[in-house]
Amino acid sequence: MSDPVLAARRLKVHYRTKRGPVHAVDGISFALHAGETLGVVGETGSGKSTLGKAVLGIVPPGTKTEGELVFEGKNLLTLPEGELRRLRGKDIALIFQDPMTRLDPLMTIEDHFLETIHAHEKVSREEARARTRAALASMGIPVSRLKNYPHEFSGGMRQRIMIAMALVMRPKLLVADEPTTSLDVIVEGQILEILEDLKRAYRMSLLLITHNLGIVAEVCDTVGVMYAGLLVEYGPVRDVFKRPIHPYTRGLLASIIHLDSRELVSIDGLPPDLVTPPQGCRFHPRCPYVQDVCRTTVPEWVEYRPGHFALCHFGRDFL
Amino acid sequence: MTGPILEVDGLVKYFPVKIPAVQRVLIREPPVVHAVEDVSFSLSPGEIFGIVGESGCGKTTLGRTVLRLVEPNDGRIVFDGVDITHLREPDLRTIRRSMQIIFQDPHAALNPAMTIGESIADPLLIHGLSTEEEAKAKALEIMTEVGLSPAEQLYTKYPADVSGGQKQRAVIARAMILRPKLIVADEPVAMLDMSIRAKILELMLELKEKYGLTYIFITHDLATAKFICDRIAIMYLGRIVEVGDSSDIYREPKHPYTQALLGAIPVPDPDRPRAKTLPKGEVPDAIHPPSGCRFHPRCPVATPTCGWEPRDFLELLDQRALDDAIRVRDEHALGPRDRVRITGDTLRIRSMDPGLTRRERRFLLALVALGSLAVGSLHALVGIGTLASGLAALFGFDALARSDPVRSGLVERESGRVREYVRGILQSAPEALTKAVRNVAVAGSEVLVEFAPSSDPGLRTVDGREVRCVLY
Amino acid sequence: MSRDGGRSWFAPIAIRTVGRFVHVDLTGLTAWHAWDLTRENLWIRIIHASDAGPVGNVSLDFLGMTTDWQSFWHFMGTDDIGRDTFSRVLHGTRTSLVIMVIAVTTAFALGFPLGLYSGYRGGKFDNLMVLIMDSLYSFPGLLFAGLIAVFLGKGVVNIGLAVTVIYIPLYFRVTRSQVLSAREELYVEAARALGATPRRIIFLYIAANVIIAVPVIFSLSAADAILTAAGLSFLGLGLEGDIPDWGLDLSAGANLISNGIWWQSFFPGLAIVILTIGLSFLGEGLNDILNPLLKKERV
Repeated sequence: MSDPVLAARRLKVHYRTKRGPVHAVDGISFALHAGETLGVVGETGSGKSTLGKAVLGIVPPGTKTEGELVFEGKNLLTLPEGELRRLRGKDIALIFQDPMTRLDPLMTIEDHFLETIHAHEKVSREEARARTRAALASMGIPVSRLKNYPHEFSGGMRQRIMIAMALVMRPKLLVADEPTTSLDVIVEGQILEILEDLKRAYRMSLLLITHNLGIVAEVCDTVGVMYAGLLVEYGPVRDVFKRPIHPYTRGLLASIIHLDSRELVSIDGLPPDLVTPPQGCRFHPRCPYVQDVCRTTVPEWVEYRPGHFALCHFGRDFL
Repeated sequence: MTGPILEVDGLVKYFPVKIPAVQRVLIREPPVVHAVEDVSFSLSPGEIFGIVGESGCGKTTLGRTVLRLVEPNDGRIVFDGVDITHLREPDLRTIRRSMQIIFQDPHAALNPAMTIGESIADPLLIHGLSTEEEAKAKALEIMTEVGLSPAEQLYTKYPADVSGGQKQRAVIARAMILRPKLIVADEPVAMLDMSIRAKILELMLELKEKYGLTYIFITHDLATAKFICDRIAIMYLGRIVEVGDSSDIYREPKHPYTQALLGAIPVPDPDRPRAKTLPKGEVPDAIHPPSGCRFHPRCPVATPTCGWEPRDFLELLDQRALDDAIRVRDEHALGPRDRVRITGDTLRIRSMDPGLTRRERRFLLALVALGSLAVGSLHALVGIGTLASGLAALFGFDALARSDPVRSGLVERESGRVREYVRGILQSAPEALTKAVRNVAVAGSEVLVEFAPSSDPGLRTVDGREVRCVLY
Repeated sequence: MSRDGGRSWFAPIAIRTVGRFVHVDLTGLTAWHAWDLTRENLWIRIIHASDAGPVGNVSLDFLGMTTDWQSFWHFMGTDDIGRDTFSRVLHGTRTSLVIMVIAVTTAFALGFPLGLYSGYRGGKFDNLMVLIMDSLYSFPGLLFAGLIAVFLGKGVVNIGLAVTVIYIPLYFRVTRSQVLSAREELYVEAARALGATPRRIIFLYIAANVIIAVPVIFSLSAADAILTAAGLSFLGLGLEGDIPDWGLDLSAGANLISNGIWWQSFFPGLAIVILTIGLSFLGEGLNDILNPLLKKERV
């Protein structure tokens, strides 16, 4: 297999707070290859949003990072600011949950695009304009609205504009942090379709961070489940969804309410405290299968099937 | 208890749009957001009635209007036999004990300056039903009932120190402590983690069984609504488009919008193929909703009588403009967009400007200006005189040009050409749109595209439920 | 002080507890003694104010009546009629603080509730109040206070009230703007849904969350009040001659500076600056304490 586009090796991100260090991401490793879509799923207190911030390079000052986050051979955590900026927007593109915070309310949509294009490449104004038109047309945004300002668009259109802006430079990696969480179901479906088409057309890698398991099942090739700052399961989407190993993953999948649900399932307990996470296996206070060893010893990251990993003492029993 | 616990009839709520005072004086009909339009339904005691729709459909406004937290513009609300539509606040306050609300955002619904115990006990103190000690005791009791234990410990905690799920339980406890009859639950689990949603929904069902509650369950999640609701109403842009028994609707959704919503839900099964036909576009602006059936611009099975209007033609032009080549051709044939305007059901395209063309006018103006500049160098007054007479001549010329038979012949030709082009566009347009155009005519320098007037389909009864669609 | 002719000394400060409060009684402190030195019994007594008579008047000073900077016991010098600068500065503190407390508490007591009510009610009442307050606010502070001082006359309480009027609009505006945003919060809507009366909502739900803005305004207005009061005294609109006041001393000593006598204006001025800075820090500190208390910031 070719070299991964983005690889994390024992990545840790710790915030400093008055109560002590928050172990938001506490040792994660994964590898994302060209053309692959990796979904990182987690709930409140899982640390997935921090992971997103670390990849995007927007962690708050004073945050400690350890380990490696390698993009095409360069460690993003230790890269000087200038180089990081050059990568961002050109090779690594980002989309966030709320597009309004990333769009300048005083600039027209056209200006946004022109600025992005000119920041990375030297092309004529006409060429840049043509590229802008093409990019927006592929999103279904009419040319007549080129001179509109961000607040004149609806939420779904703004998200589409953000995606168009992210893709105008043909990046190799697109990182999406909860891109459809604030959108309605129909618009969400439209945007996911667009992402799928674009992925295929440009062989782009996509790192999708979300709490919505439904869209992960539709769009992703590989999925990683986060809990309390750690990856507890990782593998091909079909395997993880159909034959989950870790009790948290099983609980999560069972708790989804869908059209054919016959009963309501939930996971007991409260979200984990990231300042003092539980000893041993971090899920043990809530695990229905907890044993003594879970309370004292940290489980091992074992490959139970090809490409399918889990962090549980009794993984073998759940196969 | 006999008879419905809640009857809503023809409820209407408009929100005024903020525009500058000067504009407001000039416009005859100030723009409003049509949040809720002509909604009627009735609730039997003990049922769970779901109101489902996307954001902007008015479901949240409807929930709040029913509780009179928002003043309706029209319609009637009868709660427990009492017409509460026009009751004044002091009278309403006693009735509020029987109808409560659970909010979507548990993090914002609790007063950050009060401990959760104090928040839960407060309703009793508000209505003067208990002393402080009694209220505290009752609060502890209900906290244990909703799963907030150990109640003594959690009583003194502030909202910021507890989790989202616990906050929502506190909100539920606060709503329940007065033993209401009706509870409006506005997306009660939307902001909670999936793994704990079930717990909260279970709690709500338990409380319903125990205390004989009636729920209005507002949500955008069809799957949850299917599980928990007895009857469901689907809302789109302020109107109910389908209402009926929950199981019926899911088995056989009739309204195209309901079908679209059901089809769009992401299923957490990687094997399920995604052969979805999603409706195009997004929910339109509630200030200027589409005429006729509000879903018609996006409906995959629209008919000619669904309410097509001039705006849809412009939308069609926009769609065509996505392709650069076609866009250029359209622009060349029809001219810039400001030549188009809408009056009522008719689209008017100006084929050309009467009188001198803009270029001609500019050219002559430039000549006049240059001439007067040159002459003015001799004497300022002479220059000004030249400019004045030149402008007068220009206007005269212009007036002449408007009445010139040669020019009017030109206008006729242009208008005819535009009309043919428009007919061509309509040929390649969706059939429903084309059939809805009554006439494409020429009137002087304008080409008129007339649409048939349309109206809202209204709710029709089909198979034991009501659907707002011309197909039935 | 000593009641037995110099054999034992004790500080004339009484400290008592009354209920939840600690009461510190400083009224006995009209003289500050460290040692008592007389030719007879070698005690060094430094009197910076007389034991009897109006404070600030070192009329029984037996260490020299010349305007002399080097005199060790007048380490801040004396003014042109022999009163010790240090004691006047010391006692001037009381005056300034009294004025400040009157000004700030009255402004708060009037501005805060008005802001609460006006912000919540809205409508014509609110429009009217905003109009009035904005007009008051647009007056230059010193001028306005001076105008009122002329009407009210001299005296510590009168000055305090004159200065108050400048700050009422400030408390009003800040409170009102906080209320306008708090009013839209979900928990306020929840309170309405529960059937709470507007009064309850304003005082229990909104006031507690809105009061966090007040400490910042407190330090701003307190510091400004002192400066304004000093300014008023400087202009001669303030207090009578005998009451020690920084502004007064400043102005009295202003003409002397050209003669090389700088200390009479300098030390009162320095005291004004120190108090103003101190109040600013106090406001910030209050903000830091109140904020986490009310917002309960979670990690």
